[in-house]
Amino acid sequence: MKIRWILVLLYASLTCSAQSPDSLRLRTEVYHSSQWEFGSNGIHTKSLFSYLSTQQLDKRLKEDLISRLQAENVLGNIQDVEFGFRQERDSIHGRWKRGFGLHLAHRSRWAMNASDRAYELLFFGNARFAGQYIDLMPLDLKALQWSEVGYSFWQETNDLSWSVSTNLLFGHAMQELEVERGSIFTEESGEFIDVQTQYRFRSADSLLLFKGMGASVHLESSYDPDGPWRFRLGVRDLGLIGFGRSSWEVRADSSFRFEGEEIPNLFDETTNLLNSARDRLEATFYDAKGGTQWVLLPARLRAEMGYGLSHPFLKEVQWLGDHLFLPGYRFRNRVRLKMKMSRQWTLRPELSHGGLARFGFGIGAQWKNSSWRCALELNNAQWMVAPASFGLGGQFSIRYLL
Amino acid sequence: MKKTTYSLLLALLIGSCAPDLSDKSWEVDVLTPIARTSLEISDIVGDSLIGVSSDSLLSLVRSQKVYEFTLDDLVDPFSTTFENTAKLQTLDLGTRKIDYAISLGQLAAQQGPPFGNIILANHGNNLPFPAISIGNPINYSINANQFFQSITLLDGWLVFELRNELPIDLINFEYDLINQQSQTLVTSGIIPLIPAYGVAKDSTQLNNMTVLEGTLMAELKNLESPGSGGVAVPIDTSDQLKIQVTVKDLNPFEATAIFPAQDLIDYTEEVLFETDFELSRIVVDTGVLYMQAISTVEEPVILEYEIPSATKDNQNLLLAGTLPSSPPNGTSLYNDSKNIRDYSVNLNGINFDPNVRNTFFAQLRARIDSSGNMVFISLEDSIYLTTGIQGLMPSKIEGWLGRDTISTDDEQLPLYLFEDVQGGSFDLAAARIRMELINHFGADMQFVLTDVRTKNQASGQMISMNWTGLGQALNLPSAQDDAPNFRPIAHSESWQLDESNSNLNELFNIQPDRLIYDLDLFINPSGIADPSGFAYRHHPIEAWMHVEIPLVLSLDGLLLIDTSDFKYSDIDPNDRLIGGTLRLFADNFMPIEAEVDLIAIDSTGTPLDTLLGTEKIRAALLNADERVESSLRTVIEYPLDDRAIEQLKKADRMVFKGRYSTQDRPKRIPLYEHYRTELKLSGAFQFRIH
Repeated sequence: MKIRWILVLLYASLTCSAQSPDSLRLRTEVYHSSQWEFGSNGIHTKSLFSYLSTQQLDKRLKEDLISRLQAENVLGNIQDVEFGFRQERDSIHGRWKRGFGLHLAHRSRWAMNASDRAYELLFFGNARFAGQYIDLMPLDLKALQWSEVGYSFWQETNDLSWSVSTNLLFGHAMQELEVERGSIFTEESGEFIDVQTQYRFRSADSLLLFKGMGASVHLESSYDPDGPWRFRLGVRDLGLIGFGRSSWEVRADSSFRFEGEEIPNLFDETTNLLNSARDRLEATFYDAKGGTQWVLLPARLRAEMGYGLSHPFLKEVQWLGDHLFLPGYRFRNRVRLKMKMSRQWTLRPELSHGGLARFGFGIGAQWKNSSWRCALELNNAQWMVAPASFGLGGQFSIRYLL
Repeated sequence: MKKTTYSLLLALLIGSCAPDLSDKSWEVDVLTPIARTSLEISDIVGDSLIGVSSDSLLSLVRSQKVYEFTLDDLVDPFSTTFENTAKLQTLDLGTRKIDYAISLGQLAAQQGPPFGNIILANHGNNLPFPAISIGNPINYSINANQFFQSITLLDGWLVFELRNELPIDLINFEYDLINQQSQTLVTSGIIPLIPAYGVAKDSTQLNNMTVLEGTLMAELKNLESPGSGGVAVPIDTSDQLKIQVTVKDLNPFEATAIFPAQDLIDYTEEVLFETDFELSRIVVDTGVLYMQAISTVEEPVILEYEIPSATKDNQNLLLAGTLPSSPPNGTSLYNDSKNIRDYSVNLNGINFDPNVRNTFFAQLRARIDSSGNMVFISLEDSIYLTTGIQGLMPSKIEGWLGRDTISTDDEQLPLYLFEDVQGGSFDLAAARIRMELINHFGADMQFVLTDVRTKNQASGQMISMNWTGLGQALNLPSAQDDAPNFRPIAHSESWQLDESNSNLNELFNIQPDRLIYDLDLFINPSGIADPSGFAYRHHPIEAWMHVEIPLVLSLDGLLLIDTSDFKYSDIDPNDRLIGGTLRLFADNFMPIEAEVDLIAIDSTGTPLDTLLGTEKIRAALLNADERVESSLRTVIEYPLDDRAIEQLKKADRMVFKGRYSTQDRPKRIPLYEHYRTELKLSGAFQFRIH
């Protein structure tokens, strides 16, 4: 409740400042943007598509998948859809520009980082590991979906600008698995299985559309001095969501040897092996506790540098770095070249490394006139021509100046 | 390209959330332990059947009740019914009085001028009163409707009381009393003299179904006076001749009246508790006291059925209720009952005389309370009452239990020693039996066991017992009564049978499943009547057989069979099993080899498949002291192919069939407490993951 009031007050104060008397000229635009990224650093995109389009995974496909895995394998999906409008005002002296905006967004983050052994265990079972000790680490999962209503404010001087967006969040789904320790040993002839694990699993599990509420901020600043260089720094999704009573948490820290369900009396008809084994395993590994769960959003850090070129159509070389706090996500480097093909068309070819995938080649195109601006970007596009490629992503935005 | 586009779209769709595994399936190979158990001798033959001696040698022990004689065998459930039809003997209507008065002024007015006027004119003066005579009859209405509307009398009295407050004598007072509605004469009479300031009475008996209506008319036919004889007397026109009509001692046949409260039935009777014994008291275990009533009386009837002989918590046994008033020309009904458990019933009769036995008494009462309503009741009205006791069984009886002989011939009962043995044979070492007789009754008992046999029904073999105690009187003195705790302190006697005094081994080597015996039980064999006897219903006379057979034996394919319910869905609820191999690890610490079959059978009992049975579980080796020191492992594998799984899905039950044999037969091997077989079942399965 307190958070809601703080947000309301913040909104009011920022709105007031946006209506300062030195404002003269209004510039209003509405926009839509969407971003999607799906990737793995171990499984080729084509294999992933085969997997997704196949109902039954045969041995060949499984072996193919396993053969491509690394010691750590990330698999993830990022999706953003946003609608909004922005209003910008020039200052009296033309030196200060400030504006504000409102947006409505839906965001989804899902990522799992697992060892090749964990995948192998999942797809082939434990029989092939008989007599072997399997370390399942790392094994982490985070999945979060939320909607966002945000108010943003920014201000520009001649060479420095900054923006703040404060957001009210509505949580839709949450799953989080954090495994500190996980290993399994199957005796050669199956006489016993040793399991060692320490983990925490949290979930918001209900049919409600809105399962939680929270708040976040997006912060961004750019520095564009005279000369060829410009810089930008930002952080997004800095915040948390509290999921309500339908959520629960499981913690386990146990070393356990399973030797089969003990039957006190072989001739006792009341023994139900399946039920008693399940009850005992649940008591060991699955002691769930309900209650509100506060979950940090997977924040994204972002840095950008640009170096202007004095070329007829090669306008700028850009470097972008970003990191997303999701399991297995690695710092991503991107190098772009801004190519102005005409007054209306701009192209941005890029090379990237990291993120949810490995190396990637992408291309972006932008078209604009006095009212419209459209941009389309395709990342890791090489999978269409190169089978051994990882990940896939894209962005689309459209903006209309009123 | 088409495929690529499709894949991209699919990925976009799925990518809106997490990758969904729910529509995928693949096969995994799972190696897992399933179950483990430790199989001991006691598991095979049942915990209660195994005893351990000080040297850890196992024995087959069994305690089995072979004879029971209870109070129910002596006493039949007691029921008794009392039927009472009570017609009303009398109807009490009480005494009813009606007052009336005639003033001098009224007489003078009726007399008319000149005399009447003179009297009226001289009110308050003294005047010689002349002789007078009423020339014309005077009618007066007498209203008794506040008491009755109509009475038909068998008997009763009507009394006229005349109180003369006038200063002159009155003579020849002649009257008729007439029912005003029917104009029938009730009575008439003449009173010769009513002296001045004096009283005179006249009584009439109302019998022979005289009808008296609530509104009567009194006709004063004649009244004269000789006057004051010339003497001046005070004239006061308010002076009266007071007439009081009293109806009393009424014995009505029927009446429409307001009846006063009165008893209708009050009846006490003694009841004989029918038994062959001489009992002074019983405590009720089960039984119901009930009362049913039908009435034609148009007043509520209060009913009470009480047995003062029966008490519980110092309260008499009482069944009380109110029988509703019956509708005109109809009947009303009443039913009630009461559980009389734990009531103590004194059987010393109505006067609680210790010399009286088997007798209690009951009281039945019925009465009406005055409702204040005008109702019709006739002596023809009746109350039909059924009261009684149903199914009384005592939990305890006290008194002399009588002298009796109970004979039992060819009594057969199952023996639960070898019921799981379905085949093979064994050779036992010495067996022992302790036969125990327990007397919970407060009466001396005597047993005479005349014949004992064991029988194997399957083979038809039957062996008769040879024992020195057969045909001898086995005396069992009376138990003591721990009355405050409502239990007896039993008296028991035991007799030991072994190879030295009987042929026990012969009896058991045929693996008997039946015991057959003849015996006579004598109650109070001396015939001396002891009034302090007793018996509790739930503490019978018992005979127990305690069998102990040391497990020093040789087994030759001894077959034990056990069946349990089985549902495939219990072990594979989601139908994911494709195939695999079951692996049984048997670490045998018994010097017994076993062939174990698990047979799946369907609901009709038809065998579907045999899961085990390809190999024997090998026996552990014995050392020089004929003891097992270490276990011996046998691993048996059982493939589960498609066919076997399909058969398992049809299975309804699993039959566990174990065939056991000792080594070096026929040499007997002792079995010790620590002998066991550790069984572990694991599986290498192919599962389909959905």
